[in-house]
Order: sequence, then C-alpha cells, then structure tokens
Amino acid sequence: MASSRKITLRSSDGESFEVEEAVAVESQTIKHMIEDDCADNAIPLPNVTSKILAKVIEYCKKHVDASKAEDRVNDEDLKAWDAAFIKVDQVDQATLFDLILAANYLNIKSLLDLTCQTVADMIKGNLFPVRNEWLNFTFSIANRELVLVCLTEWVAHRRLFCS
Amino acid sequence: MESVQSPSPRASSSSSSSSSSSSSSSSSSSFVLWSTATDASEGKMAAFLPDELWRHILEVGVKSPTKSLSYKELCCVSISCRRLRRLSREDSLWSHLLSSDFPPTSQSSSSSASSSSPSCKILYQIRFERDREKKRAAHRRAVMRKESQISEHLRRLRDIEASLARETDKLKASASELSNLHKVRQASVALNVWQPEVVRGKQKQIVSQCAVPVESRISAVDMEFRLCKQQIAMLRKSYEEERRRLDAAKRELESIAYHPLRSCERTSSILGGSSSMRKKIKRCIDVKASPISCLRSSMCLSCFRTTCLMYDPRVGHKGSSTFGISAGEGAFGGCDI
Repeated sequence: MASSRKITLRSSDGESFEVEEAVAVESQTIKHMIEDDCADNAIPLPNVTSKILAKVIEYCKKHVDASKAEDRVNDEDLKAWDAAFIKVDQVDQATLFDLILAANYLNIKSLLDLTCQTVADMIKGNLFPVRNEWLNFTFSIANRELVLVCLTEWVAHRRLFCS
Repeated sequence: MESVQSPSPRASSSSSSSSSSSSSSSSSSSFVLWSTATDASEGKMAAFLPDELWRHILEVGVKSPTKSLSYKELCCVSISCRRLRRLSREDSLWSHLLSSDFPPTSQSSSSSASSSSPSCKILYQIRFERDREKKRAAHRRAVMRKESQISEHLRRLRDIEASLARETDKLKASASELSNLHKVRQASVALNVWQPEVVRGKQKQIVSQCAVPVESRISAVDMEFRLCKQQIAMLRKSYEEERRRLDAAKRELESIAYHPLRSCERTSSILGGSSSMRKKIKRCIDVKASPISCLRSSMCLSCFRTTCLMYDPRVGHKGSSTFGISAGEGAFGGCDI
C-alpha cells in the first residue's frame, strides 16, 4: 500500500479536495470506505459542504502533523490551536453545528468531542441558542400546549432548584 | 414541536446551500444576531441536530473535567423545549451528577442496584433538597450559637455592672468615714494647741463622739479606700473587655445572619415605625440628622435595641453621650450603604 496515496473527497456542492491517505483516515467512515475498496474514484460526501469539508481537512491535517512530530512536545500547542480553531465557530454558530454534523457523519471522534465540549461550554455560559429558541417558540408559535409545557417546567424548575 | 420539525428536512438541504452564502454576510454580525434572534432560521439551527448528537453534547458537558454542565444548566436546558427536556432527563446524565456531587454511601449504592428506584433526576433532587435543609439547619444553629454567646456577654456585663455599683457604694462609704476620721484627728491634734474656748468646746465634742481609736482606724479605712479604688479600676477594665467581646460577637452575628433579600425586607418594615419611637429619638439623640425618614428609622432601630439592652441608670449616665455619637455614626454609616 502506497503510504502517501492521495484520496479525492468530493463535497455535496461538487468541489473536490485531494488529501493524503493518512489525513483522510482520521475519519473512520472514510477509512472503512477505503478498506471496502470503494475509493478508486473520488469519495462522495453528500452531507458535507465544501466550506465545512475544508475546515475538517484543516483539522485532520493539523492533528496528523502533530502526531507525526515529537509526540508530547506540542500537546498544549495543539490544545491552543484547537481552541483558536473552534473560537471562530463559536461566533458563527451555524458553522459550529455543521461541523458537529460533519464530524458525526465522518466519525471523527476528536473533532466531535471538541465541538460538543464547545457547545456544552456555551450552554453553561448562556451564549446558547437554546434560550433564544425557547423565546422564539413561545412568542412566534401560538401553540398553547407547548407554552404550557414550557411554563410548567419553568415553574417546577424554580420551585425545585431555586432557593 | 412536531409541527416545527416537519419543515426541517426540507429546510436543511436549502440551508446547507444558503448557509455558505448567508454565513459570509452574517459572520461579522452573527454575534449581534444571536442577541436579537431576528433570523428565525438561525435560531432554529439547534433543532437540526439529531437526538444522538444532543445526547452526546450533554454527556460531554456533564462528564467533562471542567464540569461544564451542572444540575442548574441541565434544568435550564430542560425548560427550553420538549425535545431537550426529554433528552436532558436521561438517567445516565443525572446518575453521573448524583455520583459526583453526592458521593454515595454504602447504603445508597445498594439501593441503586434495585431497579425499582425512581428516575435519577428525582433522586438527585431529593438529595439536593436534603443537603440544602442540612445546610440551612447548620446555619440556623450557628446563628443561635452566636446569639447565645451574645446573651452570655450581656449577662456578664450586667454582673460586672452590679459589682461595680457595690464597689462604688463601698467606696463612697469608706470615703465619708475617712473624711470623718480626718476631722477627728484634726480636732484631737488641735486640742493640744491653744484654741479659743468656743472652738475648743466643739473639738472636744468631736473627739468624744468618736468611739474608735483614731489612728488605726484611719489606716484601716485608708486601706479599704485604696482597695475599693483598685477593685473599681479592675472592674472597669473587665467591663471594657467584655464590651469589646460583645461588639465583636455582634459583628460576627451580623455577618453570619446577613441575607441580601431579607435585609431589604427588614428595612422596608422599619420605615413604617411608630411615632413614639421617633419622639424617643428626638429626646435622647442630639445629632443634627438630615430629615431622611430611612435615616431616622435606622437610628430608631439601633436606638431602641441599645436602650433595651443597655439600660442602666449608673452607667447610662456616662453612656448616653457616647451612645448618642455612636448611634449617629452608625446611622450615617448605614446611610452610606
């Protein structure tokens, strides 16, 4: 097996990305596709757009390079790079969610954990659309049942957990 | 929620193509967008994640070493929508919280083995409330302990005051006896000198009236006088010491029993103080206070409290002047806050 074989990945909007095999197999999905020998032509990824695919490839490349270099030296550097990588997407939350979906589809555990941790931190820091969503629903939808459910849960929550 | 979910598969395909165009324009202002939530599709983006991903997010948050999601955040998530409520109620999350926040004793671990136990969230809630009750009871006990300490101090102060009074009485008695004896001595000395007859007669009277041997009695009474003085000085010192301890204990009680909400209630109830209290203030405090009602009512409270506690005719005489100043200072200090 050629160690630096190039794999072509095609995004949903038709753009093709060429990556080394080592980078591509960060994704378990792609790894299984290669093992099952479906990777002669480009691998189509219909659920991932080119923008997101570019970011995913950037992430995988960085992690492969970091593991190839001396192992323990760049641990904090890698973490700092991860933080900077994800911070851009914290502001643009649509990209963040697309990244989560892509990481889930491509089965890249480290990226998935990183993005989920970011979302969890955002919930904690109240930066999260969950609240906005609730407001959107209660004000934009005249669904009395939904409002009732939210309100009763709110009342119960206040009674139980707010001293 | 179901009615909203149906357009989502339709919208997701269009959103993936529109997101690339909209995200470039919205990336600069997306942060502002979140606070206003004007763009409905952006706001509903979170609904596009499948359940398993939400579960993963919550799991990662709860199990993370930085403790991103505590029980409060899980509750907040659960009130946002029905789907998240279902997802955040899961036993795996709450059992993790249960085991980390309330480390299980041997008996609870055996009970969790039985499958008839209720959902972990309810278990967590029960433990949480029990813990909170325990903390409240401990706090109440601490406050009561402090208050009993304060009453101990007050009792000791009263004892000291009583003995102080006794000693001053003794002092006065011995002082008067001493002065008498001095007169007698003077008279007896003067008898040895030539005096006019009238004076001599008076002096003879004084000497004869005195039954006891003068010199020894004088020395005894003098000793007594000095002893009384010493005792009084010591008592005064211990009084000051006790006073200081009382003040320290009072300060500690205040800091222990401080609760920001309840102190608001207290001041608002004081504002409706009776007029008789106000007259009392006008009588015993000569401080030029500004005519703010809250200032007066806080002085009213401190005045009333200190007059009840500390009323003593002997000491109050000296204390009223200092008391007025300190109450005024306290009131001004309270007004600053």
